Amino acid sequence: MLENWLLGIGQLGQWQVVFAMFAGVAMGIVVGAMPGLSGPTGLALMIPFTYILSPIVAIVLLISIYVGAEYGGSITAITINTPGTPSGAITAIDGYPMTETGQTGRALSISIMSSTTGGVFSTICLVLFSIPLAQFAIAFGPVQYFALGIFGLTIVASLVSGNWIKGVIAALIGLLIETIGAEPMTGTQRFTFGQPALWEGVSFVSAMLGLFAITEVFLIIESEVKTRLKSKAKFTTERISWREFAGLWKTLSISSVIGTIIGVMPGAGASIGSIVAYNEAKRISPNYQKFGKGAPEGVCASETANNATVGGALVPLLTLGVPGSGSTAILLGALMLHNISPGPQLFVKNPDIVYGIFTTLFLANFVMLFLGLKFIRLWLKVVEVSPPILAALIFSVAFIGAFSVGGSVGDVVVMLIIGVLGYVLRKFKFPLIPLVIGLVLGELIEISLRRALILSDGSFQVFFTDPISLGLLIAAALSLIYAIVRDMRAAKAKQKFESL
Amino acid sequence: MLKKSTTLIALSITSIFLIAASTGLKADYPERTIEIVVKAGPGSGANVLGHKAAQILPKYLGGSAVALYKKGGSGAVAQAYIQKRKANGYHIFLDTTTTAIVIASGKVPFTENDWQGVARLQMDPQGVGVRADSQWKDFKSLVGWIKANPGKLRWTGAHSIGMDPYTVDLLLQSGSIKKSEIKYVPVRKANKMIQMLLGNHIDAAILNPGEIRDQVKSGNLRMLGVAHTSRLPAHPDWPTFKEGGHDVQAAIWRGILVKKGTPSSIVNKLHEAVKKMLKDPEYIKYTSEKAIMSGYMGGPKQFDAFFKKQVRDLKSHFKK
Repeated sequence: MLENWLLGIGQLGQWQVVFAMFAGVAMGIVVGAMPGLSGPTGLALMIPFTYILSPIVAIVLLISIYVGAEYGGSITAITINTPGTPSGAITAIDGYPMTETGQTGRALSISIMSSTTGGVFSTICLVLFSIPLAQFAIAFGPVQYFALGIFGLTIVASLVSGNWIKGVIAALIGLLIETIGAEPMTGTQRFTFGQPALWEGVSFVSAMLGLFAITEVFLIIESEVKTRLKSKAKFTTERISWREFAGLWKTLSISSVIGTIIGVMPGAGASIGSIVAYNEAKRISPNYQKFGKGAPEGVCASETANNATVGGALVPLLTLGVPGSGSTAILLGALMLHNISPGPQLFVKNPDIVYGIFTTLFLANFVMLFLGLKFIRLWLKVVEVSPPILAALIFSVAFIGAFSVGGSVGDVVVMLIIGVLGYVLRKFKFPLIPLVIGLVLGELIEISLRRALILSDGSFQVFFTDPISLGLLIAAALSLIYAIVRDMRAAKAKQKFESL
Repeated sequence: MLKKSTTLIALSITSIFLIAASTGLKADYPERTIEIVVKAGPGSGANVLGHKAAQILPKYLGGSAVALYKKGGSGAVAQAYIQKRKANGYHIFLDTTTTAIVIASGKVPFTENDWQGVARLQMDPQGVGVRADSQWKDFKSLVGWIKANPGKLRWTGAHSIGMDPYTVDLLLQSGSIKKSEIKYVPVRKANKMIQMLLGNHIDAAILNPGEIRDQVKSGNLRMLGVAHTSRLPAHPDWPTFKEGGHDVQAAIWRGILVKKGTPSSIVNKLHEAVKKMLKDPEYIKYTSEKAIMSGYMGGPKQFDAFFKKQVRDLKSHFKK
C-alpha cells in the first residue's frame, strides 16, 4: 500500500506532471466557465493532444481538467446567470441573487472553498472505500434509478414555495422537452418534425444555453437589466472568511456525502448530485426561506456536491471499468487510447496509474483552490462589463458553445428556439430551475421505468418490494409532504402577522 | 484582464473557422484537405479510427486530412453533410454498421445506392456475455434454460433496432426459440450493460471482445460464444457459436464510404492508400494494442457488394 503511494507520488515529481496539473486545472476552470463547453467537451477536445504525452502526464492533465471544470461552471452562473455546466444551474439559484445584492465576491469564494471541500472529501472516500462503494454502484438497476429520479423531482416542490402552479408547469415543460427525439426503447421518433438534428433529442447544452444565456441576452437588450444593473448595490470584492465558511459545516458535510454517493452511481451525474444536495441543504437549514434569494448555503450545497461527484464517479470507472458520468466516459476512452484499461485489472496491472490518479485528485483540488481564490478579482471584472458588451459576449459564446457540441447548426437553432421559450417563461415569472430539473431527470426516469417494466412483465410491484427503491420513494413522499407543510405553516404565520 | 478572455474567445472562433474553411480547385486528387467525417463521439472506436486515419492516410495519399465530427441522428446528420456536397472524394465517410442499419430502417432520406463502398477496415465480432458465477457454461446450456423457462431470461443489447437485436434474433432462430420467449431490454451503451450484468439486473448481454475482455480476465464475466467463423486469435479460449452448432456470424464493422458518383479513379486511389495504411507500423501498433481485428475484405467492389447485401438483409429483418 505505502509503496504504491510512493510510486504514485514519485511520478508527480517530474516537472511535466506539475505543469500538466496547473495547466489542466486552469483549462478546466475556463472550459467549465464557458457555457457550452462542459467537462466532457473539454476533455474530448484535449484527447487529440494527449496522444503525444506520456500516459501519466496525459492522465494528470485530463483529471485536472475534470476537477477544474466542475468548479468553473459556477463562475458564470454566479456572475452573469449563465451556468457554464449543467450543475451550475443549481448554483445560479442562489449565486446570481447574491450578485444582484452585490455579494459576488462572497458567492465566488464560497463556491471555490466548497468545491475544494467536496472534491477532497470524495477523493478520501475514493481511496478508502472504492471497493465497497463499487458494490453500491452495481446495486442500482432500473428499479432503483427510477425511484432515485422520482426522489430528485420532489426538489421542485421545495424550490417553488409559494408559486406552486408555475413551478409544476415549468417542470412539466422540462419533461416534455426531454421527450423530443428517439424514444429510448423502440427508437420511434417523437416531436422531431423530420429534423435529423432532433433525432437524438435536444442536446442538454443547447437547452441550457437557450434557457440561461440567450434569455439573459434578450433581457439585457430589453434594457430592463441595464437599469437593474446600474441601480445595483456596489460590488464588494470582499471574500467570505474562513471562520464564516466553517459555519457552513452542516451543509458541507451533508452535500459532500450526497455528492460522493450520487457520483458513484453510473448515470447519475453532477447535476443530480447538486439537485439532491440543494434540496437536503434547504430542508435542514433554519434559513430555508432565504433559499433562492441568495442563501450562501445554496451555493455551498450545489458546489460541494458537484465536485464531490468527481471522486465518486471515479469509483466505478477504476474498479469496474464502468464510467459514472459523461466526463468519466471520455476519460475511459482517453485511458484506453494510452492502452490503460480501467477495471478490475487496473489495481493489479497499473498501481502506478491508480495511485497517480489518487495523488493527482488530492493535489488538483488544492491547485484549484489556489487558482480559484487568486482569480476571483478577475471574474469580478466580468460583472462590471457594460451590459451591451456583455450581451454581445454572451451571445457569441453561446453560439460557439452550441455549435461545438457536435459541429451542427441544428443545435444552434434549437438553442435559439429554447431561448425564446425561456424568455417568454421568464417574462411571465415562471421559475426556470424546475424546467432544468425536468430536463435532467426526465430521461433517467423514463428509461428506468421502461426497462424496469420490461423486466417485471409490466408489474409496478417491484418498485415497492425492492428495499432501495422503497426507501427512496418514501424519502420522496416525505420530502414532498415536508415542503408542503412548511409552506402552509409559513403562510399561516404570515396571515397571523398581517392580521395583527 | 478582460482582454484575456476576449482573446480566448477570439482564438476559439478562429480555430473553429479554420476547421470549417476549406475551398479548393480542380487538379490532381488530393489537391486540398480531405475531410474524414465521423458520426461517433469522441472516445468511441470509430472516432479514434477517424483521427488515426487523418494522421496516417496523407502519408500514402498525399495532401492532408482532418477528422470532422458530425453529431446527430445516428449518423443521419453526417450522411446529409456528405450527400449535400460534391462527389469528389474530399468528404469521405468513416462509419460503422450503423449506416447500414439506419438506411435499412428507412430513417434517412438516402438509400444504399447513394453510397459507394471504398474499403472495410476493421471488424468486431459480436458475442454473448454472462456473469462468471451464472449457471450457463456454454451457449447450449443457455438455449436449454430459455426453453425450460420461457419468458424468464433477461437479455440486453444496444438499442431496439440495430446490430445487437439483430444478433439476438439470429441466435434465437438458430436455437428455434421465439422472440417472445426472452425479455429483451435495450440499453444504449456497453458500459451500462456490464454494470447491469455485474449487479444481476440482467442475465445476458451482447458484447464485443474489447468490451468484455477485462471483465473476463478478472473473473467477473464469461464469454459464452463469439459470432465468428473461427476462434479469435486474441482470445483462443472463447468458443464460437458455430462449434456449438449455432452457425451465426455477426460483426460490427468500420469502413470508408464515399458519395455515389465519385470518379472511380479517386475511389481506387483512396483504396490503394487505405490498403497501405493497414500495413503502416503506427496503424498496426494501434490495432494490436486494442486487439482490433482487421476487416479488410478486398477492394471497393467487394466491400460495396457486402454493404449493399447487408442493407438488404437488414431490410428484410426489419420487415418481420
